[in-house]
Formats: sequence, C-alpha cells, structure tokens
Amino acid sequence: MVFLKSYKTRHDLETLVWELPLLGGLIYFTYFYLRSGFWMFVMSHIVFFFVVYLLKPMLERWKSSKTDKLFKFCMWMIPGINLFIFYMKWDNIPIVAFIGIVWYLALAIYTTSNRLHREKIDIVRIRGKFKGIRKNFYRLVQFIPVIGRKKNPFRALDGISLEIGSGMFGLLGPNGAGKTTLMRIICGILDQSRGRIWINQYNINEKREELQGLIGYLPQEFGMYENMTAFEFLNYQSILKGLLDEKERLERIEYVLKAVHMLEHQHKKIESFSGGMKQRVGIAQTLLHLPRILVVDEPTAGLDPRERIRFRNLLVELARERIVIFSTHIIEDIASSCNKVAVMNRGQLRYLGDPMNMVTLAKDHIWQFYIDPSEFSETSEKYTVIHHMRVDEKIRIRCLSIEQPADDAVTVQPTLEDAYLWLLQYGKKDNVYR
Amino acid sequence: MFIDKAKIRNSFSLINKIVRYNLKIIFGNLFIYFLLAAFVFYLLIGLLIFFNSDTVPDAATVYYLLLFPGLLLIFYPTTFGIQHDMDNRMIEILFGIPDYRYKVWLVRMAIIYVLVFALLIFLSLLSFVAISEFHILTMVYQLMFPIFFIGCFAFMLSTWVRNGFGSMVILVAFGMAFWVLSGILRESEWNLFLNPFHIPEEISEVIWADLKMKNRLYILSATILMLLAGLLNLQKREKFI
Repeated sequence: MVFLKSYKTRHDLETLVWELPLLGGLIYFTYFYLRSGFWMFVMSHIVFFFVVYLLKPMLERWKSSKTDKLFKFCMWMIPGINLFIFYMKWDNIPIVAFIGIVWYLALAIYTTSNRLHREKIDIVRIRGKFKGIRKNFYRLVQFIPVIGRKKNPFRALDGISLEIGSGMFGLLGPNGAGKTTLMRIICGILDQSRGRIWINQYNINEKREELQGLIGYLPQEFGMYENMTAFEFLNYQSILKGLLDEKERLERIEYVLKAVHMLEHQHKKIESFSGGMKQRVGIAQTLLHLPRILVVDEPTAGLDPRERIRFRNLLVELARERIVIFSTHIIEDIASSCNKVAVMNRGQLRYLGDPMNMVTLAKDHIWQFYIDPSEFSETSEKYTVIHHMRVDEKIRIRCLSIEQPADDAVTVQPTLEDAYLWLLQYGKKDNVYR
Repeated sequence: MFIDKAKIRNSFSLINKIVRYNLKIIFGNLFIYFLLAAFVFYLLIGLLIFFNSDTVPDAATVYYLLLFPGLLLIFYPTTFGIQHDMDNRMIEILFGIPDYRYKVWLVRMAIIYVLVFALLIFLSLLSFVAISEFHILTMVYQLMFPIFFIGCFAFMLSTWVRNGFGSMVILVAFGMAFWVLSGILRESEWNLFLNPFHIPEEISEVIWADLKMKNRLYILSATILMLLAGLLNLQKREKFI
C-alpha cells in the first residue's frame, strides 16, 4: 500500500483541516445517504482506504504499542463493520461471505508481506511445522503486486556533511556511490529522510519551491523534446521558469545560447544535434533563470574527448560567476577544473578538499615492480593493480599497497587516480581528509 | 480607461507560445494516429447511420456517434502523457521547475480538453449538416462530461501506474466495466454514459432534468477529485525517477 502522507512538521498537519471533514462527509454519504447497495459497497472501500491513509502516518509519527494496536484494530474491524452493514442492507449471506473472504484474504496478504519485510524472513530457510505450505504462501504473497510485493529500502547516503563555496566543486565516486542521490537532494528533486541542507541560511526542506529559483539542475540522463528547435525548447522552458516578458525572455535566451556557444544552431531541430551539443542546450536550459548554483550530474559521460574538454571548459567559464557542482567518475575532469573535490564511496564521504592535496594521501603507498608472467594472477589477487605493462620477458606492475609488496618494489610518485583508488580502498568514513 | 497595448500583446504572444509548444509535445508522438482513428471511426459509423438507419437519426444517436471519437482523442495524451515525458527523459528537468504540476501538466490537460472541444465542434457541425439537426454547443457541452471524466481518470491512473501501457490496460478494463454498468444502470444518475438527449418515455421531464443535473454533478465532482489526485501524485517525484 502506498502512503503519500507523513507528519514531519506542524505544517503537514494542516491538511487535516479539510481531510477530517471530508472523512465525516464520506461516512455520512456512504452509510446514511446512499440507497444503492452497489454504490455503498464501492464507497465503503473508499472510506476504509481514506481512514488508513489518515491513520497510518499519524501512528508512524507517534509510534507506540497502543497506536499499533489501534491501527490493527481499525484495519481488521472496519471491513467487519462493513460486512455487517451489507448483511443488514442486502440480506444476502453468500455475497457478503464472498466479499468477506476476499477482504480478509487481501488483509492477510498485506500483513504477511509487512511481517516478511519487517522481520527480514528468508523464505528458503524456513523450518518447523507446515514449512512447505508456509513457504508457498510467502512466495505467493511476494508475487502479488501492490499489497504483497515490497522493495527493500537502502541507505544511499550516510552522514555526509559538506560546505560548498563558490567556484567548481567536483563530486567524485564510483557508480552507486550516492553522487546522483546527493545532487537530487540538493536540488530538491528527492526528499531526504534525515539531515538538513541549507542554502543561504534557508532550509531546503522548508523552502523547496522558493529555492528552485537559485538552482539550475542538469540530470545525468536527460533528454529534450527532440521535435523542437533549440530556440523553441529554451523558449518553452523559460516560460515555465517564469520569464513572462517577451523582450526579457528573448534577451535571456540569446544570452544563454551565447554562453554555451550554440547561438548559430538555435533554429536547428534538437534531434539533429550531437551528444555534446545536446549537453550544451541542457546547460543553457539550466542557466535560463540565472541560477547562483549550477548542479550537473556526470555531464561528460558519453562524450568524445574533444567534446568533453570543450564542455569542461564551459563549466569552468560558468563557475566564474556561480557555484558549479558537478559529479563525475572521470578523474581527469576533476584534476583539470575543480577548486575543491569530494570523494564518495558507498554513500560516505572519503575526502573533501583540494584535488592537489589529495595526491599526497597515496604517497608511499604506490609501488612499482617487475614480475614473471606466471605470477601475475597471484599478484593481482593479492594487491590492487592500478596498471600493468609487458616489458620484454617481464610484466611491470604498478599497485596499491600499505606495505612493500616485493623486494625489488620501489615507491613512485602518486597521481590523482592512484589517490582516488587508495581512498576507495583504504579511506574511512571517520577518517575524512579535509 | 488606459489599456496597456504592449502588455496585451505580450499576453497574447505568451498564450500563443504556450499552446504551440504544448501542441508540439502532445503531437510529438502517436497522437496524430489517434486523431486519424477518431475521424475514420466517426466517418464509418456516420455513414452506417446515414445509409442504414430505419428511423430518422436524432440528437441521441449523434451523442453516441460523437462519444467514441471524443474518448479516443482524450485517451492517448492523458494516458501516455507522463510516459512520453519519461521516455523523452524530460521528467527530472520538469521536476526542477517551481510549481511544475500546474505549469506543465495542468496546462497540458487544459490544452488537450480545448483541442478535443474544438474537434468535437467540427464533428458536430459535420453531423448537423449530414445527419440531424441539434444544438451544437449543447451537444459538445454534454459530451465533454464523460470525456472530461475519462481523461482525468486516465491521468490519475498514469500518475499511479507510471507506465503508459499499464495505465492503458487498467483504463480499458474500467472503460468496459463502465460500459457494461451503463446497460445495467440505464437511466440512473450514476450512469457515466447516460445519454442526456435520450429522454425515456416513462420518466417525467422534471424528474429527467433533475436526474441529468445530478448525473453531471457527480461526474464533475469525481473528475475534479481525480484531477487533484493525479496532481498530488506528481508531487512524489522520487516515484517517477
């Protein structure tokens, strides 16, 4: 069951002002006003779901054993009351019995699914009486959509604390590190379950809509209406962003197209653009409302080297007047453009600071040595091999290690890539280097 | 009284742009096929009525003749609208716009309804000339109730299911149920497809007028609720990305 509500702040309770009278009206309409048995049956379901919709978040907010019991009581008793009313009105036991069976079966599936989820029951390992029947029932429960099947939530971000100043700020991390989640939270696309983000002393949770005007966001996987020209697309976006005066709007479109060097292509259809050109139109779109903060998620992924360099330079150019936060897993992009970098892994911050200082973290931990080809698989299992190269009869290995990996191994000057790998492997959450 | 001509010109230009761009988005996919299908369907049934009907066709016949093309027109943009934005990978960009629910989807819904209204006026005119005389505006006005209902129902479903084809399957199932129910409910105020031009012989005119008004009121209330529910669902952005 999907619950859209949550009572986190007093503001969330304000909706009850119209929801409670609506519930009263629904109850009166369903059980006292309606004469048709069919519509009473339909509306009684709406009443049930509305009660659950209102109760569930309240009970989650003020959770205790008593509130749990109250919720269970409502869940199981309301259908019972409904069945009794149907019986009194219809005087048809078979139909009422059928409805009752379907109702209570659905409730049993829903509560079983909750239990499986809450107690993290591994169906394969179930032992004891009737294990075959129980296993099959649990499997059936997990197969049923909406009321049975549930996704396991996971922690995408864990204790991230950042202070971002002006200029280029790079977010570096492997796939699944939580970069996109962090960016979506900053931009107000995702609601964070805990923690706070402040922009210019405003809490993003409370002033979500207002702060949108300060932020320009380019998602990782974005597209455009390809049957439009670049000008039409930007014109439409600028209207949506509140630029209603035509003269101002046209000037702004010209300004952003110039900024991304796309003015000469403005009347061409987007479908005819290359990947890099589309990225630039995407950036132009984020600049329309002159945001103070520009957030771009992996903008250089999938671009050829020339387009990548051009795009990176564009971001540096834009960072002169605003904060640009951009994520990538290409280390070269960070090295050549960012004033500050944050390295993330598995939702945790591993490094925050100057990219050049990051290199020193791997000092004395990068080794180079030569091995026979037959020893390669053993070595690569034992150490993190950064790269290797065949040199005559031997293989030259460059690897990460705390201790000296071989007698002839010598330490070498680390690069940013080495430092990044070192952080992913040995950097710890509580050991953030700032 | 001073009239700022520049402001008026600006407003007209703005509305023109909004309508044009939204039409480009709506027509950007398969909508044109649904438009053609609606016309073909209308022509086929219209010709059948014109040549084969034993009785003289009246406004009640035209109401049913126009209802299906109208539903066909509303079906695609409301059911597949969200899917279209997701396929275009525009959804996350749109979510970054303040008040996106109203500026994007409510405006788009309004434009779709105006478009369907205009097309129905055209089809009504054709019917008026070729089939039977009736009040064109009253006909389209009455047709818009079930069309408005199905459109908002499809929109709400698409925000729940978040998949065009899934929404389509559910909508077709519900549509068939509504159709079957209309046979059972007949001249009841609960009948979604109640034909307001088909006055039953056994009901007095006063009761019929009251029943019609109740029917339209229920449909309108349910429609507004579904529209609001759809817009509320769009607030949960994380479900869509």
